[in-house]
This record gives sequence, C-alpha cells and structure tokens, in this order.
Amino acid sequence: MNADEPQLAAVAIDPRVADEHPGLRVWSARIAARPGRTPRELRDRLRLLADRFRGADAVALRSRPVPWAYRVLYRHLGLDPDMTRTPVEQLAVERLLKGGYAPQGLPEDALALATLETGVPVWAVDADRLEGALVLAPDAGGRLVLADDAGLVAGLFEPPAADRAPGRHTRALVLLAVQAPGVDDIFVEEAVWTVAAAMPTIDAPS
Amino acid sequence: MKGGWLVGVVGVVVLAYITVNTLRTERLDPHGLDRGTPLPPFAMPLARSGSDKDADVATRAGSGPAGKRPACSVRGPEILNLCELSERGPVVLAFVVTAVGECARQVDVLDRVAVRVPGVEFAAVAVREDHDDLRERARERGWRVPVGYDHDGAAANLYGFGVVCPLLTFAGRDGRVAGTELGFLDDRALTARAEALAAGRRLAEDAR
Repeated sequence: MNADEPQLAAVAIDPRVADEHPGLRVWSARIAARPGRTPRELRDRLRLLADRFRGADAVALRSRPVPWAYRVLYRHLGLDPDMTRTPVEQLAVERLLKGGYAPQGLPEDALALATLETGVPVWAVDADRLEGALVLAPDAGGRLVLADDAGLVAGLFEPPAADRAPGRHTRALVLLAVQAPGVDDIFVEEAVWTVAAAMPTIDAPS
Repeated sequence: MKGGWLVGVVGVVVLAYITVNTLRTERLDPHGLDRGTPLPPFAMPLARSGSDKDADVATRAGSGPAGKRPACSVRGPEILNLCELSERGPVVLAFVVTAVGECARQVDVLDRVAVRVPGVEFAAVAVREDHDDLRERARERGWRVPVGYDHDGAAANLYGFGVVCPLLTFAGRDGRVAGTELGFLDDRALTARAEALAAGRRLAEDAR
C-alpha cells in the first residue's frame, strides 16, 4: 500500500467560474502508482461496503450532507441530479442493480472506494500526460472543463479524455478531486488519501 | 309575512354586494399582466422562514383580508417584498407550484440565471403549497434566489397566475410590467430576457 500521504494542490479556477460558483474547488495530488489488478484487500473492502449497503441507504443517501452538496452543485451547473447522477449516487445505483462491485482493476476500484466512503468524487489521470498547470474554466460552449497547456484534460465530473487517462505505461497518477461548496476540506483529504492508500506502492519515477 | 319584501330587498342587496366584491378581489385573467401594468405590491413570508402567514397585498392601511398595513411597508429579513425588489432594479418574478417538476426546474433556472445577470432582481413565488414541503424542497435543491410563500394565492391572483405553470413576470426599472411568459423558459431564453431588462431594452414580442 502507498504509505506516503499525497500533497494536495489547489487547481486554478477561472474567475468567471469562481464568481458563479463560490466554494467550488478542484484539488490535485500526484502519487507514484500505476494501473493494475485490484489487490485482495481492496476487493474485500468493496465487498464489505456493498454488503452493508441496502435500498434504504440509497434513498437516504441524497439527504446526507456531502452527497446533498453535490446534488445542489449539479443543479447550479445546470445538471439534473435525478437524470445525470452524481458519482456517489451512480455507484449506489450500480450496487443495487448488480448486487455488488465487480473488480474493475486499478485505479478504478480505489477511486470507487474513496467516493463511496467519503461522497467526494475522485478521478485519475496519467501524470506524464499533463502539460503545465491545470485550470477549471468554461469551454466555448459554456461547459466546465479541466484543461492544461495542451488542452482538454476532462470535463468536470467526467472521466479524463482518452489521451490523458492512465494506461499500460503510466508510472504516476495525478488524482483530481472535486470539492462542492459546503463540503469540508477533510472529506476531500480523506478521499485522496483513501485512493493513495489503496494503490500499491511503486518506486517514485526519477 | 309582514315586512317580507324588506327582507327580500336586503337579501338581493347583500347578494349583489358579495358578487361585486368577489369579482373585484378574484383576479379572473389567468394569463398574467399586460405590458405597462404597474406591479401589484405584495409582502409574504420567505419559504425558509418559520411563518406561514398569508401574503399581504394591501395597497393602503386597513384593507381587511388584503392586509392591515400597506404591503410595501411590511419588510424584514424573512419577508419577500415586491416593493423592496422593485426599488433595487428590474425584476423577474416566477410564480410556481414547486411540487410540479417543471415548475421546480424553472426555479433552478432562475437560480442559475440570477447569478449570471447582475442588476436584475430575481424571486420566485410558490403558490398554495404546504409550507414544510416547500421549505424542504428549497433546501434540498439549494435555491439561492428568494422564494416567497403565497399561502392562499392572493398575490398570484393579482398577477394572473392560472393553470399554466410557471408564470414569469418581467418588470422594468419603472416598476411596470415589461413582459409576461407562460410556461418553462430554459437558461438561454431567460438569460436573454433578463439581459434585455438589465439593459433597458424592450423584451421580445413573444413576451406579452
């Protein structure tokens, strides 16, 4: 397991986005890890979570403070959370439909674990496929996207673009956590640490 | 019966009074107000407040059921007051029944556009709803715009809110109706109208 605590860095927010969505933040953290098979310990944790989760929990989920904050943010972004589910609600529905979480590999299962445990969504991109600083800004169509010097990295609340996603040659990941207004920093830190701790340690790339 | 004719005459007079009074207090045009009409004043509890009192729509003191005090003078941190909104600039008002999905979505749109178009006052008026349900819905959806609680629909009647939800009323800086829309407006359409209001431009012809 990855023993070092990852250092969180705030992603720059375009002033137009900051004005319209005060409190919306995106955090990044680089970790030395690569895609692979899901370790037994992580599979067990996911199974335990799935076993504890019932239909009533899914109904109550939306009223809990952190998932609720993401529902509100979705509405403020123009997304209907009853049509386009928030990440944690999407995972809850998957659990109800499939009866559990089949292993997807790393980093997907680590990301799912973090989101389920904290309510904070986290994505991973290949650290070596980023160029320059990240910024959250509206694109030409008004959609909020994370971009770097080379262009689109990911739409907000969307998986990374194919050319930024972790692959076979990935040696380090940059984790991206979206913090909805009203969500305490500690939930975000916990989410990122959960992912880092669930990923097998590798030697940091030189 | 002696004096029976007198009872009959009194009865007819009372009936006539009730009929005329009803016609005067019940707004019968369920299509919103026409362009140029001065906005009828109202003051009502905000959805987030603990009050479920009726809206005050009185234009002068001692107006009976319409209100003891003129609505414009009823102000406070938990009150939605039309005069207060209008004094600050152009106004966009949405009359809604938030239990209806399309109507609740209109408040979502209002909420988003309000952040994007400065200089215009936005508010929603929830008509004849359960106060606790409304308060919970406002919390659940994270509405930032003020949402008033029109318990008995008195204000909604004055603005011509009928069967079509939502009813949107646009008013210029002069406090007069600049346009009315029946039915849902999306972000783009509402932003265009609000920006026109902010710039003092005439609203498109599809707004009455």
